[in-house]
Amino acid sequence: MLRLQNITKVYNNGRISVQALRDINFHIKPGEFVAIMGPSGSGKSTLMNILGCLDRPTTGSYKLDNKEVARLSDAELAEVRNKYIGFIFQSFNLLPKLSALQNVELPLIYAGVTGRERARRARKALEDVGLAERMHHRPTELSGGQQQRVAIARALVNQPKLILADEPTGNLDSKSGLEIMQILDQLNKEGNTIVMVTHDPQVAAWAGRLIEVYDGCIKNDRLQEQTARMPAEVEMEVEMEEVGGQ
Amino acid sequence: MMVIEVLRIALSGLQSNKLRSFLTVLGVVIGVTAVIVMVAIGEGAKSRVTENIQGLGSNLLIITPGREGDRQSGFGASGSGGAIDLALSEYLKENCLLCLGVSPEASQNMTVRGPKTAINSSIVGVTPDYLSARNHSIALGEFFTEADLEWRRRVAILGSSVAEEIFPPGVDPVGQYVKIGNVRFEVGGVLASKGQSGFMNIDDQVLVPITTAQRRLYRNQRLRAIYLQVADAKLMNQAKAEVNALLMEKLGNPNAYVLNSQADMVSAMEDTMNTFTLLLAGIAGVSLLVGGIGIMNIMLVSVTERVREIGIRKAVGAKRREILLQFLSEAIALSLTGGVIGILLGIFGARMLAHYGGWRAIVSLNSIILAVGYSFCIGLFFGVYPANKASRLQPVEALRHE
Repeated sequence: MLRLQNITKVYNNGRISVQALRDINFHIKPGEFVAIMGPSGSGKSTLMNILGCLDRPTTGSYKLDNKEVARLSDAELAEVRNKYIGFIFQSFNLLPKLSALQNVELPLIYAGVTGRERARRARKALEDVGLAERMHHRPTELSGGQQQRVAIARALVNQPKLILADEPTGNLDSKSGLEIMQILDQLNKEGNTIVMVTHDPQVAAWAGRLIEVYDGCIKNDRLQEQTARMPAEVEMEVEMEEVGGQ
Repeated sequence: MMVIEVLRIALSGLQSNKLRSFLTVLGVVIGVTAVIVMVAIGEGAKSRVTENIQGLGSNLLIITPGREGDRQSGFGASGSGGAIDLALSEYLKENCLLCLGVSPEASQNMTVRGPKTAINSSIVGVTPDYLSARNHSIALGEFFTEADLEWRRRVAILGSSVAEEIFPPGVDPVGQYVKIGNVRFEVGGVLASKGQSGFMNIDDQVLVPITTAQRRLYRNQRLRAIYLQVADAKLMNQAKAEVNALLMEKLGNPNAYVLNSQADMVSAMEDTMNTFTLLLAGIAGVSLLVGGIGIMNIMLVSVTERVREIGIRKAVGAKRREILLQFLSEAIALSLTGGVIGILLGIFGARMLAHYGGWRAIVSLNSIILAVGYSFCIGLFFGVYPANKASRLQPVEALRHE
């Protein structure tokens, strides 16, 4: 599905150059659910940007669906993002002036899908995440969890090969976070490949494989048992409720 | 991706910020309105002047004193064969084969006193040919005759406004007496009203036999002009050459006279009026330019504000070209909207000027096409820089932007 070989990334800010990634190698098979963890500054966001074709590695090879994408032009990368990748961001990144439906239509517009077909597919994607009733609401009229579900619908609408989630529960209260994780889990069970960046071990536990990044290198890469667990805050809240109840 | 989609995105972008869009458009609206109105005024003035000259008839030649001729006659050199005077007029009448009518004209401002009031008016000395040569007609009484001319009779033909002003209502001026300067004239007739014609209003003039005027009123022999009617408009060039030869023979100096055909005057006038129109349009164009800079300003602000939107669009697959097109079409939509509103306001403004100001204002199709084209180019020109800036944003940085 995707293969990274000897990936490095160096940022040049004037005279100072920062080595964000050094010699990253891994391979993700179709249908995997991978969590990438690491402290801030470890390079996991940089890795995520490269995986999402938002940025290019300084050196190395990145094959997505057997296609070398590390050296593509801006326009070609845009097409790859549009056709192969669905993004879910921590801060949702919906356009505030568009309705939920229009937001979900966005990738289809740039894919050249028009008219009724576009509206049909966007509607279907929103129904799949349980937002059939809220299609014409603007993001500001939706709760955080609902906004993230709109973002998921947007990520899925072009039927991408890879779903990239960057701290998908980071801006959510724990109950909404749990809903989002359940949706991602469900998507993975349906065969979607998901790569997720998180710093929350409880969230990472949903994934079947854990890659730990430290100082721009992969420190640990292991398979794990997928366990459905609530994000950290929820467990705390639940514990407190239990304490309070006693 | 289809252009229509990008246009739709651009338009909805403008709609979501109505007040700002409106204010931005306003600059272009004012510019285009100014251009349309100014050009309309220029064109109106041109058409009025041209029409007046054309009203003289297409078979007209006009002789006016040249720079030197004027001086000579001023020193009383008339009769010596060096000036534009009645003798010259007589000479042309006898010798010009292609000329149908020769009508000399002189004028001076003087007081005309009637039973009611005295007013200052232009006293024009003419010959009986004048009436037919200039397409005027008599409303009351009769025009003076060759005999009146020959005998230097004191007969005056009043313009209709003059007659109304100096005679009480209900009184027939014909046969009454008026005083021009200190000389008593009998009113021979009143001209039919014609309104503004040429540079002077015929209604405000008094016509007298030119011989009488020169002897008793002006006390000089100077002519303002000699009008020659050519037998056939097709023979204008030959007639001009003939008259020129006669004038050279008689005056001996090409600077003593100016010989123009009506067509010459029209084209000279049109040149002047075009320059005038261009000047007006140029001044108005500056305000359109300022409007364009306003668009650039707002588009730059808009790009800065919408960095995140650009990042999101790029993340989901928008290419550089599509972002460029989106912001460029926003700029062009702004300036074109301004252009269209400006045209409507300009047409309205020109109508108002014509209606209330009595101006003639002509909104030509050319000025509308010019305004639309110009505002489109303004949008394109001032939109390219912000749009290019937007399209070059890197998605990672744009998404990180707060």
